[in-house]
Order: sequence, then structure tokens, then C-alpha cells
Amino acid sequence: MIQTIKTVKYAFYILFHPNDGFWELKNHMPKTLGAANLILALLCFMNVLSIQFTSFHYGILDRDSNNIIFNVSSFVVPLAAWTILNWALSTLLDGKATMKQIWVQSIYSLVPVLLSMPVLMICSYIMTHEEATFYYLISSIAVIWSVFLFLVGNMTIQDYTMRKTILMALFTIAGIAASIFIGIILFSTFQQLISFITTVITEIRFMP
Amino acid sequence: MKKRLTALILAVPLLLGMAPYSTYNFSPVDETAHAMLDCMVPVKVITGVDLGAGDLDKPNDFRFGLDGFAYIADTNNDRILVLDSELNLLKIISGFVYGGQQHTFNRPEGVFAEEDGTIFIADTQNRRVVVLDAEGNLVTLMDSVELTGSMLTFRPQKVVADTAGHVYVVGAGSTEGLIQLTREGEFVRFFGSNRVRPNPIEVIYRMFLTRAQRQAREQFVPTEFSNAHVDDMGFLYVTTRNTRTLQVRRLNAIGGDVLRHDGIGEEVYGDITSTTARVGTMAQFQSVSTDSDENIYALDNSTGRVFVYDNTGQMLFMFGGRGNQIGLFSDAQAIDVRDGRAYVLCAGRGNLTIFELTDYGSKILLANHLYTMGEYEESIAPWREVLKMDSGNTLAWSALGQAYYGRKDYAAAMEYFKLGMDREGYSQAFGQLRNEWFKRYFSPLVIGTLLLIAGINVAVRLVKKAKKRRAQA
Repeated sequence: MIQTIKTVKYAFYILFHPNDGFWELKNHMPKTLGAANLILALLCFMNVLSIQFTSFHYGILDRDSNNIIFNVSSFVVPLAAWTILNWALSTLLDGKATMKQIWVQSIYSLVPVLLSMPVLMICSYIMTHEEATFYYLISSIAVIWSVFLFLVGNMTIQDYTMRKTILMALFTIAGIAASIFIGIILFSTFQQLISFITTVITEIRFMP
Repeated sequence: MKKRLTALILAVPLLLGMAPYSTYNFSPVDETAHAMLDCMVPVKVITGVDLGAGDLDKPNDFRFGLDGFAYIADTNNDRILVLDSELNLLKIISGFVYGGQQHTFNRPEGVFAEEDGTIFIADTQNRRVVVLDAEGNLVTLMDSVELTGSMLTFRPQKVVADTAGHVYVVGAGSTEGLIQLTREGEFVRFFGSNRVRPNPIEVIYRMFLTRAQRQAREQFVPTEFSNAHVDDMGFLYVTTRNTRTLQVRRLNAIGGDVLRHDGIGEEVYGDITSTTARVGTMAQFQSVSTDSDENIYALDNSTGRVFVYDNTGQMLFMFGGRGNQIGLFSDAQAIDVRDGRAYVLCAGRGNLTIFELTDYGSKILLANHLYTMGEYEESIAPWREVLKMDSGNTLAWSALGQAYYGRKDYAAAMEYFKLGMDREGYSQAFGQLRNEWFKRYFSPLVIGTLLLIAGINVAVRLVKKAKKRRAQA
């Protein structure tokens, strides 16, 4: 447990030293999976908190329609999709990372966003709309930083060049889109299959 | 017998004060419609037979003249009906004498009357505007009007005159704006044309076309006006068809739009989301009218709904709809408002439906009128009554927030703005509260910060000293 927390704390080093940091994380840090999942849990928790407790004038208007399951899956599902697709593609294009390492690296890259959440939440109680520029500046810095870490991290653990990393990222996104498409087709096909079977069963049951 | 029974059944909602539509307004949360109590309900339907004038055939215009009489342009019967303020038939105008000859109308689509009873008739298929005095004698015949600098032929559909002596004509196919005439029927200019908003994709696409191809494509032309209305102050209101934005506008003397468009939909009037509109249809505003408090009643022909806005463009409520029951229309063409009653003319059925404000509706109008006049304090009581009847009215909560903001009770204002889903108001009230807090705690805050810095300094020094001593030891 102490090891895990130590590994979590290593995220602060990665923030400013992404190249060394991710390399170290991949090759020498213990319990990275547990640490990453802990960060992900924190991220989901902070997200729910910030949606619920951001001051009214910066938050969402309709808190009643807030759905924790949706909030959590809005982080977990894209991350999982990214991990699977990125791994699947990188194995074909001589990437050096395992699926676990991609998962860990992606979550560690989101640390700036995680850190910005409480800051933004507190700011929403201090700032009016006139200072909204600063508010959105903070959040966009966090997002840009995260994207930067995402790319550098992926480059480090896959042992790619930056160009290849960006290309791979685009491929991965295309892959995610394709798999969503296939998923929808599968879903609707199965739906039709099921409805066909139930219709046949009903027909047989009520046959005169 | 059967007819009478149907009439009785149809009349039941009238007796109960129910409406065959559910009133709504758009929510600031997600812009979907949320139901509210009915604000205007149908109380009476008048047909041509009721008036004693025979069936109306596709009547296109109903308007109260400034003389207090009501006028109906009974288009396909080629006549104008004049009614008194109680809607009893006074006379039927079906023609006039000009040059010793009896002239008749041909499909007149618009009518307008001034204080002295001068009647302007848009004699559409005859391509002229006929001006008659109160006795029905011809004053001016605005015939063969030359629209200088335009390919358009003069085919007037609606006509209004303002107090300054200008005559404005809504011409069929007139994309250049209202046609402004002198009282003698001379063309002055096109007035207040709609701005063209080119579609960006189309603009880029056109860059790759040759000149001939470009000319073959549909041109960017402004949409044409569908109707005009002059309010008590002399402002001109216009409606536009076949467009999704700025369908209702208030024009000043130089044709500029002076409506603030402050509502949730901003420049979009009518149904702002597809939850209430029929899929694939566009609001087709056909007529507009104002009441004495400058509230705007805009009639959407496509859904048959009348949307009521205040003078900033904020939607208050709606009424009417499409259908067969009383209070619904098949082809609503004109609306006019007077003394808390709204009169909607349905061309499809050839009848006039009279709507009356409910208790709730009149409270909203009263409260909102005081509110828009800036009398926030006076508006508190009526808003509270509105909320007593319908606590989900976000408009009322937000107005209360503004009132308490005016009282400098910022904490209460924040609470009300929150209930009214008004982020901007909340932010402002919060800013004021923050200022107050700063003022009150300024000196303790400064002293506290200084003390804190000094304390940290001292602590750091002590720690350093202790370390040194330990090192020496």
C-alpha cells in the first residue's frame, strides 16, 4: 500500500519531467497498476464532486439530471477504448508497450486535469463571470498539459518518434470510431435477431 | 340535432375555461419546453354567419383600426367587413366609385384604418392600395406604383400607416423590404430590409465555381416580410417567413432593428428546440401585434401557436395550436390584441377566435410589465402571486432576484437567481456580495496576511537557528 502511494506521488515528478518520468514509471516503478487505478478513482470522485459542488454560476444548471454512472463511465470508457485500440495498433507497428503500461500511462497523463478540478471548484466560489477568462484559462492549461503528457508519455513507452506518436494517436482515434460503428451495427443486428426469435416464439405459442 | 350536440360538446371546454393546448415556455436549463398553467384561453368563436355576413372565404387580415373599429379582409369574397368594437357588423365594403365607375376589389389581403376612419385596403390581385374615407368615398388610389430601381411588380398584401404620415406596404415577393409610400401613393424607398446571412459552406463552395455556375445557383436573397404592425408609440413591427432567426423585429425610423432579442432563444423566435416543433418544419410567422404594455404577440402559421414576448424579446408564454378544437387553427393568418383579449383569424375555417387572459396570465403580464419598466420593488408582490400559482416559473424567480438585487439584499438575490436558473444574475449578485465582504473585512484581512507572513518568517528563522545549533552540537 505504501509502495502504491509512493508510485502515485511519482505523478508529480512526471508532471515536469515527462520523458524521464514515464520511462522510470514503465521500467522501474512497482505497483503501477494499483497506483493508476487509484488515480482514476480519484479522478472520477473529483469529477463527481466538482459537478456537484461547483458554484451555481459556473456549474451545470440542472443538477437533478446528474448521473454518477454516466460521469464515471465518461472517463473509464474512453480510457479503456484508447488503451485497447492503441495497444492493438502498436503491436502491429512495433510499439514497445504492453496494454497495462498504456493504461497506466494514459491515467498518469490525466493528472493535470485531476489537479485542476479542486482549483477550479474553489475558484468558482471566488470568481464572478467577469473573471471567467482566468477560470477558463486554468482549465484549458490543464487540458493542454494533459494532452502534452499523453503524447510524450505514449512516445516514451512505445519508443516512437513524436511524428509516429501523433500518427498513431490519429489512427487510434479512427480505430475507436470504427469500433464504435461496428459496435452499433452489432448491437442493432442482435436486437433484430432477438426480436425475430421472440416473434417466432410468439407465433409458435399462439399457433391455432 | 346532431349539429347542436357537436356544438355543445365543443363548447364544454369554453364553459370550463380549459384550453385544448398545453401552455409552455422554454427552460433556461436546456431550452426544452416546460409546461405551465394556461395564460390565455379561448372564450368565443365568431364565424361570418354569426356576424350576419355569410361565410367568410379565406379571410386574410383582421385588425383593429385606430378608430376603434375592427376590420376583416374577407379575401376570397372580395370584400372588407367593418365591425364595431363589440364585433357587431357595421357595414360591408365591396367596392368604391372612381371616375364615375363602380370598382370592386380582387382578393384583398390586407386592411388598416386610421383614427379618422380612413381605410387602407391592400387590393392584392388588382395591384393597388385603395384609400377610402369613413363614408367609403375614395380618397386616393395607389395604382401602378413604380418601384424605382427594382424588377418587382407592386402587389400589396398588407398595408399600414404610421402617425408620421408614411404608408408601408408588404409586397408579395418584395425581398428588398417594406415598400414605403407617401400618402399620395408615390414610391419613396424600400424600408428595413432583412439582412442576408450567407451560409459559410456555400460561400466556400462558390469560390470553386465559374461565373456561369455561380449565377445558375440559387442567389442569396433576403427573405421577404409577411406582415407589419404599428404600435401605439408609432414603432413598426415586422414578421418574416422562411427564416429561422429574427422573424420578429421592431424597426425604428431608419429601418434598423431596435428589438433587444434578450430571450432564451436570442434571435430565434417561436419554437427554439425541436421538442415542440414538428420535425423538419420551420416557424412561419404570419402576423404580429402588440398590447398596451408593448408585449409582442407573434403568430406562427406553421404550428398555429401565438408566442407572447415582452418588449425585450423575452418569451412569456404561448397559446393556440393546430387542430380542430376551439382554440386551435388550421391556417391562422392574423392576430390582433386589445384590452387583454387576443383575436386570431383562421383563414382555413373562416372564423375568428377570441382568447382571454386567465388570472395567471394577467398576473404574469402585470408583474413583467412593472419589471420591464424598472419598477422592481412594485413587481415583487405580483411575481410572488405568480409563484403561488406556479412555483416552477423561472422567469418569476429570476425577476425576484433582480428585485432583491435592487434592494441590495444580495444573498437573497443569489438564492432567487438560482431558483430562476439565471447564472448571469447570480454571478452579479455574488460579485456584489464579495465586494461587501471585502469592504467589511479589508483591515482584518490585510493585518492577518501581514501577521501570517511575519509569523512564517519568524518560524523559518527559528527552525534554521535550531538546525544550526544541532549541527554545531
